[in-house]
Amino acid sequence: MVDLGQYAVPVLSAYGGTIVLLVGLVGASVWQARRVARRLDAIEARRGGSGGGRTGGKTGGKTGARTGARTGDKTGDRAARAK
Amino acid sequence: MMGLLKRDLSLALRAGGGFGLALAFFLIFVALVPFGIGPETGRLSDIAAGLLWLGALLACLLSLDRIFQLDWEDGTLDLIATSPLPLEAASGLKALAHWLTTGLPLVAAAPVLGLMLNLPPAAFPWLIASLLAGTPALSVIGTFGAALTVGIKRGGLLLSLLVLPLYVPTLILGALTATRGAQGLDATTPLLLTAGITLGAAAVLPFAAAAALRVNLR
Amino acid sequence: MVSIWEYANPRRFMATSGAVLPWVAAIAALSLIGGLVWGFFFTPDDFRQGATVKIIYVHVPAAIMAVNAWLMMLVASLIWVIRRHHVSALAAKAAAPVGMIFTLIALFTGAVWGQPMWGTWWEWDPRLTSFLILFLFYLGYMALWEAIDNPDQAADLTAVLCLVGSVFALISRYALVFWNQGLHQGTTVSTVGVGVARNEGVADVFLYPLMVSLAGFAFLFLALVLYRTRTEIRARRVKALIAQERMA
Repeated sequence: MVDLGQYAVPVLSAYGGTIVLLVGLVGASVWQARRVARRLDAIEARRGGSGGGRTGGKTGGKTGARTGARTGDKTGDRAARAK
Repeated sequence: MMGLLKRDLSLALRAGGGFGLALAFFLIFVALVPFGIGPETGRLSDIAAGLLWLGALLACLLSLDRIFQLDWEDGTLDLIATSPLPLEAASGLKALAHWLTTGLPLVAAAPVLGLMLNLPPAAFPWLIASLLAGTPALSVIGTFGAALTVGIKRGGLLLSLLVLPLYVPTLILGALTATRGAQGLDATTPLLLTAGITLGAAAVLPFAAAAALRVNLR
Repeated sequence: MVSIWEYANPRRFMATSGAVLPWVAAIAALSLIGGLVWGFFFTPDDFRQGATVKIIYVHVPAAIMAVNAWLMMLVASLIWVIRRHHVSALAAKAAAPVGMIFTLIALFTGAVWGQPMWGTWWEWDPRLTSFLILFLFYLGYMALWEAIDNPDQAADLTAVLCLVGSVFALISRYALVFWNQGLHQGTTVSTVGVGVARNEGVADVFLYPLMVSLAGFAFLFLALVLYRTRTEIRARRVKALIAQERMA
């Protein structure tokens, strides 16, 4: 083991604190990601079940390519599934 | 243009307009200082210049949400935005009105309050000069912060969180001017730097404030 | 050759980031653990500072990445303002907590390092103080994102804040140096610490593990930003779908 001499406390707490903060950051990011993914799956399951009635709309504050790309994608999927 | 300025000034000055509240806060702050750190005149004398700057800054901060909030609530801000006057100019005028009704009175009050804190005699001209040079920056930066948060309900605390880090350079240089002056040194350099921040902020931030207002008025 | 603007398309971004992420994360883990193990166990002590010199392997990379994170947010904000790519705005939002934690690490390790050298837990030297201000900027930026409901409005306002904040952060840095010169001369945590790393022509024995650790922090930043941006994109989709449901 490394001899830290009189500086054991500062060095170890610096490394320890860093590791705790980094693990916390990664952990929080993973937890948040899983929570959002769960919500997204739940909503998409609801929508996949209910089928039609969806406009190709740009509601919800989303504009541009993303809505177009996603809407087109989903309609294509549903059409494919319906066949 | 003058119409908007006069309107803002008269709104601030009439009863309920908030004029005088910043002054009252400044007074209360100075009154609280000895309770917080002890009344030893020697120690107060050393830190008086910095404390007065801090008090002026906080008094300014507390009056910032008035800049746009009332106009936002009654729809006047929409009118201002659609008027021929450019929103950048309107923001600049709002900042000017804020400085005239808040900053300038604080500058006038500071020497008087300095007496309460045992401010060294050499410091008085430097304190007044640094506040004159720096409080316009506080108004302009504050106007920008107010424009960012105008749509947010109870956004006062968020406004403070956003504006205080932006206030740091002005505070550092302004207080340094006053403190060096208190020590009898020549404080021209920090004074000029403080003025530089004011001029730079006044040139650029009205544009940023106008951009933020447009976003919020969508 | 694919233009980088292709990745402004969210689906493209999700596809590519999903493929790339495991590799980036692996490199991050390897270089971070490798650098820290190397630095902690296999480097000598410094003549003046003893074993505390080992703190550079966490302090310096964290500090460098804390600043780089803000710069990345600045660039991403500019791209949002100019080209209106949502992925860019969300990437800036995703990067902020990472930068904030790096800043916190820099502050914490800086203070802990300073304590044996100074006898106090905190010193108002320019470098530590600028990181404190940077930390406040991160907090304000994150708070503004949270305070505004409309995602596009939030993106716009936080972008303006980031731009203005960057200018003021730069001005603060110079004001702090000016301020500190007036107060007291003397070595600071920064010159003592960074001196080991740079000014005194740091020996390779210190430099190499530092570089590895820096690579670790950099790849960790990249991995986290990619990962968190994916989450933000999904979260926006959730919000949009909920809004559509309410209208239907």
